[in-house]
Amino acid sequence: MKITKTVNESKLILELDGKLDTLSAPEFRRCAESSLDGISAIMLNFAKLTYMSSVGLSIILTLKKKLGPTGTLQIINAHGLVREVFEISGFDDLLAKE
Amino acid sequence: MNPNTDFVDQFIINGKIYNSKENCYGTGWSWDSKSRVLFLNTYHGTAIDCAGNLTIIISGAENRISDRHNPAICVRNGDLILQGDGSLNLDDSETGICIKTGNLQIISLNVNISAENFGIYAENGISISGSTISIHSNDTGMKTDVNSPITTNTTTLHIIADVVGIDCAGPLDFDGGIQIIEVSRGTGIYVRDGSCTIKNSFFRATCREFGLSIENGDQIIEFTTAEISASTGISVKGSLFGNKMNLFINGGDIGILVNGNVCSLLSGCCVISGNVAFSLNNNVIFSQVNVTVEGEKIGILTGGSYLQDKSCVSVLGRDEIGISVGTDMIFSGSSIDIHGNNGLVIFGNLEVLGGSITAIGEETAIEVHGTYAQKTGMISGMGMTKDGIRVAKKMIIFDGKIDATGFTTGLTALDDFTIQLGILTASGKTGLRVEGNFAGEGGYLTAFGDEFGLYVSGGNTVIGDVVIDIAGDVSVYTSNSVTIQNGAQQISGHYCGIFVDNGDVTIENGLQSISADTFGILVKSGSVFANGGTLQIRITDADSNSSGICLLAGDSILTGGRVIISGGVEGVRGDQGIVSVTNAELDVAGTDSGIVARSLQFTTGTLTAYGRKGALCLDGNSLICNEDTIIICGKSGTNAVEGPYEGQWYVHMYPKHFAQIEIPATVDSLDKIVQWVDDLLRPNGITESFISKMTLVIEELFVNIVNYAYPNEDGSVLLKIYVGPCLKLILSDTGIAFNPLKSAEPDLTVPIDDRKIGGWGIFLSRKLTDKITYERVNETNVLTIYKKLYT
Repeated sequence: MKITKTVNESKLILELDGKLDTLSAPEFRRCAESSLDGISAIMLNFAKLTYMSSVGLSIILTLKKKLGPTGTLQIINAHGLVREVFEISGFDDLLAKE
Repeated sequence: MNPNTDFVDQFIINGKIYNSKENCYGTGWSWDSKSRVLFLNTYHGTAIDCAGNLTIIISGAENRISDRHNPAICVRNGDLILQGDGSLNLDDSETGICIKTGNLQIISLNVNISAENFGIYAENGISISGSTISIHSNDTGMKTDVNSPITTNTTTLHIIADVVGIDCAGPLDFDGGIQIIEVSRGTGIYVRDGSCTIKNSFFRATCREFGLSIENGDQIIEFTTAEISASTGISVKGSLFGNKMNLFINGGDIGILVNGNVCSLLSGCCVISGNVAFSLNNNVIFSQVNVTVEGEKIGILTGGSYLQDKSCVSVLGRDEIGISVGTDMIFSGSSIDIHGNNGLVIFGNLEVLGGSITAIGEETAIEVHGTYAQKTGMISGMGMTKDGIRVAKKMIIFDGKIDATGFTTGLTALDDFTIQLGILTASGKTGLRVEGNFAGEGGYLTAFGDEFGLYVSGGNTVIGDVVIDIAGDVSVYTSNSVTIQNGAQQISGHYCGIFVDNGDVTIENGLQSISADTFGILVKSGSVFANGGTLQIRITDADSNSSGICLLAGDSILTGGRVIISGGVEGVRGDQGIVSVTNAELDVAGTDSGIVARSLQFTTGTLTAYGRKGALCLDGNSLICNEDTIIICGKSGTNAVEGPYEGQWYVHMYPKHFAQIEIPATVDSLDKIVQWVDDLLRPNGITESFISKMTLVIEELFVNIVNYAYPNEDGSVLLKIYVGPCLKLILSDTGIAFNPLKSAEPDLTVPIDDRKIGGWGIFLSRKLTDKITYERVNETNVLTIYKKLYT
């Protein structure tokens, strides 16, 4: 998996390219959690993410909790299986309205 | 008066004899003995005859000499120079100027000659510059002897003669000025020994026999406009070199006749006509030239090669051939338009490096007796009563475009045929006929025939990366084997899609679509092998004895790919042979029978057959005999159940289990499992979305085992996949007893911030499958997952 990280003032943008599974999850977790200083909003661009298992949900939940109740986490461009996983798990609120 | 030739010191003028060593004079003339100059000033009189060198300086508007019995001016054993600012008229003489053993030089003079015999005869040569010469002769205009040359420079020459315009015994050279030659009974210019050069001139010859006849040398035409009308326009023993010329030749019999090595026309414009417009013993070169050729019989006839580059050539050969090339033709542009009874006939090889050839033949448009190689360019051949293009030896299309239309055959290749790239369109009674091997390595081939689209006799047919669109009564006929390696083929036949006389049909890969009224593939003695790719056969006539694949003797062996057959009375008919399916998909529907064969062998893959008299009609003793095969059958697909296939309308077969794998229980095994599942399911046509969901479920359950089953030791997990209408997946491990299905489900009703971090894996696995069960059997945890392939 390839991760592209952009920090725009208090907003962290992460683009994921490839598969987010048990093997690639630690890298994503490290990359996201190490960039949270001064961040109040996270945007996850999943346009190029083709696969995500439950470990993705766990990391996203962790990030959301770390941002606190005032922070926002938004997922954009989720599609296919990835989108389906969010929807059947009731994470629809995090998906950007498209 | 007869001059005394023995008396060398005499000269005669106006009927009187004078001593040339003494000065003398008369009316309109004076003689300077020292310089041997005769001054004429408005001289009217009879002949001048001189022994030894003579210079005549002419002044006055009119000097007139006439003598019916003698040459008007005659010089013996000496040279004659004519010059001056006046004009000289030599009227009604026996010969105008006659020089025996000497040469003639005319400088800046107007001379008008009318003569019974020769206009000018100078035994040792004629040189004219800056003059205007007009000759009217009842015999020959100008003549030299003993290999003596004629040169003119910036001179206007007008010769009207009965027999020959100019009869030059040596080389002839016109540089500048205008030459007009009119000969009522004979030849315009004879050059008997040497070359003829015409440059910087306007030249016109109107003659009965030859315009220019060069009997032992070359003809060179440069920076010149030449108009020739004669029985033969130019006849040259050596070569013809034209450069920067406008050449208009109207030859009654032959336009240009070249015996020598080459006829080379570089830069300019030529319009040539004749019974045979160009008749060339050897080679022709056209470069940067526009050529229009009209031959009653033949446009261009060469005994040697034909080279064309950056030229536009338009040829008509009405009764016989447009262009006939004796050896090879190398064509690199710009264009040739040919119209003939036969358009283009090449006795050697044809190499096309660019440009376009358009040939229309009343019989055959393009006929190549050697090989044909095309690198690029556009070739179009239309044969009204025979072939569009006919090639006798190997034909290879590297690239470019060919359009071949013929009454009998669009394109006939009598030897091997290869298309690597480019576009070939062939149509006729037979579209493309190949009598050697056929190799379609790339490009696009379209062949339409009333009888055959593609007809290959004598060699094998190998279809590689070419995209093919073929139609005919029999779309593809081959006498030997057909191998389809790749590409996309669209084959439509009224009677038959592919008809193989004596060989096999092998499909390795690619996408083939065959539609036909009666037979999709008809093989007389060989077998059909499908090793990959997708073959779709559609039969439109369900009344007669039609079938998708009909084998008179051989087998149908499928070891990969998909074969889908619909529409015929029988899907696959091979009474004598076996049908074997291994790791392939065969889907066949016939109105009467799906498969009629001696026996059926099924190992892996899937087989679906439909037919109202029996989906599978096999010999009585034939058994499938494979306990690992599941047979679903019935009178319709929807009510099908597991059971025996005999007498069923619908039969679907698939293997009981596909595979199993035992793998170490560590997360590092994950990639290997994912690859294994993908390799297993994808070839069976299972969708990407299904595979990806199964991968997710396997990951979740496998990682769960890795995390809980073996806390203190290394262990492994056994995975089994059973593929059927419902996919069954079993994961078993010998670790500590643990039922993951008992773990609490996440609560989706609480806000996201309040949800638990874990527990999502089992939740997703349940959601993405139809059913998951857990058992503890023989100290083993067994998780069984079910998911329907089709919903």
